[in-house]
Amino acid sequence: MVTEQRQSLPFWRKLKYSGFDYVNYFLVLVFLIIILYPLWYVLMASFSDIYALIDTPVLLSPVDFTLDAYKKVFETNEIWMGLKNSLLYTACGTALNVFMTLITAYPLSRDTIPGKKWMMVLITMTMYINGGMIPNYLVVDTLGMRNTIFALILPGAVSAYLLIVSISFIKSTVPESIIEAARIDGCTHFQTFCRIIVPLSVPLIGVLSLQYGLNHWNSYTSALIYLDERNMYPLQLVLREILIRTEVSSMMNDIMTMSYEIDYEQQVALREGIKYVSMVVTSVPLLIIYPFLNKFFAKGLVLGGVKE
Amino acid sequence: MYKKKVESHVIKTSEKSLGKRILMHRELYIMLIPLAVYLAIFWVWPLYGVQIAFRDYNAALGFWESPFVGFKHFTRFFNSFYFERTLRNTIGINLYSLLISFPLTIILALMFNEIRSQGFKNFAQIASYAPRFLSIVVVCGMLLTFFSASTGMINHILAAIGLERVDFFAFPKYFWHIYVWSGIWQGIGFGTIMYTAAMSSISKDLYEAATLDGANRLQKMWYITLPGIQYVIIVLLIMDLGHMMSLGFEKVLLLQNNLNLEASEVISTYVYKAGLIEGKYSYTTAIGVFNMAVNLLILSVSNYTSKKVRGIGLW
Amino acid sequence: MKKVISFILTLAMSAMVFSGCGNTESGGSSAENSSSGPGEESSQLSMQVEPDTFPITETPLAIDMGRATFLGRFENIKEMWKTKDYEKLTGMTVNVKEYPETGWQEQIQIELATGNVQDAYYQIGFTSSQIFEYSQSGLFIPLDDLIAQYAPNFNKILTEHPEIRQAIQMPDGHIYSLPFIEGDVLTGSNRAYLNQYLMEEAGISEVPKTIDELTAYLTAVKEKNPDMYPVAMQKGNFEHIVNGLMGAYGIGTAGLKGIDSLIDKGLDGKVRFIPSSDQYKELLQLLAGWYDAGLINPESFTTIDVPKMRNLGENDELAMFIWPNSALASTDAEIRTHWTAVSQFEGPNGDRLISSIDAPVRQPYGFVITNKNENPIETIRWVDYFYGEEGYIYQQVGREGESFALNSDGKYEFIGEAKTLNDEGKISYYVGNHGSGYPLYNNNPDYSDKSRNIYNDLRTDGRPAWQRYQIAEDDDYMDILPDEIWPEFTSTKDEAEEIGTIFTDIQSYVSEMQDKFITGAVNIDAEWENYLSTLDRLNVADYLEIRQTQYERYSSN
Repeated sequence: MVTEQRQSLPFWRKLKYSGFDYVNYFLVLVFLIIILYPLWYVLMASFSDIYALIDTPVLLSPVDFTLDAYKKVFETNEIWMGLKNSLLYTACGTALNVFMTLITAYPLSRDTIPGKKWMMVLITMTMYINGGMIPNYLVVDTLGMRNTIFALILPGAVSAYLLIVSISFIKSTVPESIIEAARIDGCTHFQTFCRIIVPLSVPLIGVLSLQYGLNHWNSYTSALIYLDERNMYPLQLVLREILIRTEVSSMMNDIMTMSYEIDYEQQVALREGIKYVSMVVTSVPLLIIYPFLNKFFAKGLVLGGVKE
Repeated sequence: MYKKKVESHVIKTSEKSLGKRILMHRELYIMLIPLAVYLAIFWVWPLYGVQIAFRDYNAALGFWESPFVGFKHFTRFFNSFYFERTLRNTIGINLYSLLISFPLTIILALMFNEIRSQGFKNFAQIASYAPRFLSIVVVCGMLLTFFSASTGMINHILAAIGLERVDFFAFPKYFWHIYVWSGIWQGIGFGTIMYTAAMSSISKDLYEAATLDGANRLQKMWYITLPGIQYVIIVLLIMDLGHMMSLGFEKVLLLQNNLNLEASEVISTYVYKAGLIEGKYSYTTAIGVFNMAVNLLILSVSNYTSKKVRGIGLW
Repeated sequence: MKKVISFILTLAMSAMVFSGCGNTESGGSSAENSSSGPGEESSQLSMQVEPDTFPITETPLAIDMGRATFLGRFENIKEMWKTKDYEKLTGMTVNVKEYPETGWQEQIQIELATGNVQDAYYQIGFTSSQIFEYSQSGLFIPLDDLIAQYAPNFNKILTEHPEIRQAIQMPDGHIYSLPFIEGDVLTGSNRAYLNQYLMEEAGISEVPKTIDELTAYLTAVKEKNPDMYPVAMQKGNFEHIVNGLMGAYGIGTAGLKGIDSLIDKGLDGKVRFIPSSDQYKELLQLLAGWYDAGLINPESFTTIDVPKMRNLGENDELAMFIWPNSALASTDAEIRTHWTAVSQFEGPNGDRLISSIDAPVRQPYGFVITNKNENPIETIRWVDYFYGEEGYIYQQVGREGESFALNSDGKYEFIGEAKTLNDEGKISYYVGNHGSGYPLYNNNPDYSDKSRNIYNDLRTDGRPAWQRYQIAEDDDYMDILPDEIWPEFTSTKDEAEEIGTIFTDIQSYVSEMQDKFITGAVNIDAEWENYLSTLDRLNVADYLEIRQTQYERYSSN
């Protein structure tokens, strides 16, 4: 139908892309360049000699190409262990997160549930206040979770923010009529959840996976506090340690009492380089995984058009 | 016109007694048990830690034995020479950020949505998320480099077109702009995810019907896409408003210096530096409580207003 | 009958056991009961052990020790040569808990909160007021008696150097921590480094001796190189320059720790607030003048970082900076030597004093013993070794014949496994300490020539101190040292609180205004009065009172 209509239009309308499209493409392209250049900078800088980098305003290719920073980072095999750990923590943690968030979001999206208002207020409050680091630690410790993966994925299993977003998402995108139809047909809430909510929330699952996943991937403070075993360290912690090893602790003190006057500046250069390498190493796995996640959104497009 | 109409076939439940209603919804309550357990263990249980906002915490004495001091920490903060400045900057930066980035994120999401080539769309989206993966330290390092008066790219451009070089970090007036716009650069791509997800759930039929009615692209965006995601927009807006007092300290700390402190001293950096001198957990906690109180207040007001105006709210 | 006898015996035995309990070896309880004044009762105790005698214990003993993680190396502390060697020597196993560089405060706080404290803490950065606070609640035990009886090396130091006791004695008259002491006055003293090459280029033949000559030098350099800024500094560190030049204006008369607290000793002998003094204003006016004339790199306050400084130095785009050594300007030892160091210039009023010099007691927090420790005597003996000459060498470079030896040139060098390692590796392998803040008297002037030679050969490549810092051999810095170099004053709980409340804002304000005055963002002449009245509003007077009280207490220690 649409194509037939097209034939009667003047020629500029027959083009696959309209003027609107060209403008849109152009703007997005400009946006992309602005976005991407600094990333390119980081990539190039990771291969550059830091001191040579200083006077170079625009960086299109590495300056004084060097692999020193990379060598330092990959010197030990710790980084692969860190990578493996992070993948594990992220996968398990995110799965738990998504499950907990969804199964909680559905009931709270039902306006009729008694006590909803107070539950929402409570959840909102958890966004803002919590007992602080020491009590949290004591809880984890008392439960015997230290040095286990649980210490990393159980606290923070549900983000109030993402929970609220999920509730809004379900409320606004899953038509009330479908749920009613299911209920009338005799579905239990649980069946409704599994058969209707979840499939229709595929884009939401994608969002949650990304948000929670990124959070797990970048986190290190929990690991710092709860893990003593080095071979359980996640990637970020390993990278931080590597960074710190090249760092001179208290600059003043070390300059003064360290009579060796060891290549302090060499250390500094290495440290700067390592920061860039860390960025590259951290981002690469994410950028590889993302396209797979993107399928969630694509699927969403198909399922979105469920007929009433 | 193209708004979805929600028909309610719901049996009026409000007429039943509370007990019966709870029974009716028992399955839902069961589904809420994991959250309840989770909150009980990881939120309620440690909550006793908040009391040190009203005590002088001494690690050797513990939470319950540390001396009680009432509102001393709060008064100290309010009476501080820099109280107004930190408050002004924190709220100012957040408000500025909100006013700019909120609409821009939506616009970008719309733009992504309108891309016809799936391949380009994917690429654009992934690329736009990438800055989010950079660490704060690297981002600040780049900002300091790019905006450097002597060797920065920005100043080179200025010089090339005949303008004077500017040391952007030496003046308070540039700080907010640099901070906010770099934040937008870093977060806007990722911020569109939520909207993109919501957009993908809008029924394709609506768009087809609109095309038949002769609507152009802009009209479709305005009358279909936007209303389709309005719920998400409003909820996110309310929550952003509810974080008006919260501003992380790492990025500010890396970019601030004595010359721009007028505009760059925020609550979190102030507290951080005060904490360095004596390592007082009580003081930090007290300020956290204060922030929470204000945030909650703003959130409640926003929520109430939104319910009145649009019928959409958090609770 | 039998029952009666056994009952009495049991009673008697119990009595013996329980009376024995009251006599616990833990120095904690007996010392806590001593309510005498400083040093009194302790001096009545006599030394029970000879210094440097091993093993410390016949029966195997283990203590838990918390230590700052050793930066810049790959093994952990357990693996290091010295750890293993010292365990064999002392007979004491040390279970080391390492704390990471970031987050150690949190971990310590958690330990304290859960009660899982270590037996002792080594190189853990407790603040002076924290040490006092924890000692008052019994967590850290007083060390006076232990030192008097079981720590001959440290006791000797205290006796011969009363200023050390002055610095670490807490307001209640007791000592709760063992400090890191630096004996080499040049270490930690800021001095000005001038670029010789630029000097020659500008036609200046003699090294500037007065402030006026210095200004002339910088101006001449600027004339030759109009696009260059002669003076530059890393972001956030401009205070090094200000602090360094204070001595030329008669302020900063009590050393760096005083300056950090914004105080020094006034002409009347009382504590003076530096930032409101006329001399301070004069100094800032000088610097503002420099800035105005384009002599100071504006980015010193905003974006210059260490790599940038090094770049400027190497390209000879830098004429002067103030720092403990010239490392800021270059990695290259060669290049570094073409910077001349000047200890201090003579100011317009004839003042010439080294202001930016750190106190001998650098950090008080080197070592503390907790009330959980069941073997405080052995523990204090464990740490006391390092305060003696033999232990000092052991700490710094290991043992003769095992880690180092005299070579054929008559100089000491590392031998064995560490010989192949680079400098960094050697430190990792043998030494196990960076920086400061651990229990040691570094560069103790009382040590023998032999020790000094060993140290110089191995830790400083044989260069004497003055050469390492590129000062002229005949530089008179020893003559212009301050009379008193203040350490960080100890605080009672109330004092600590007051200071915490007032000082944060004062320090912020002073620091901010300092940069603003220098850069001209605020006109110093026009706004000085306002500045002074704001300082009044910030309760500088109260702050000064507290510091005066602390100073008097310090002096009478």
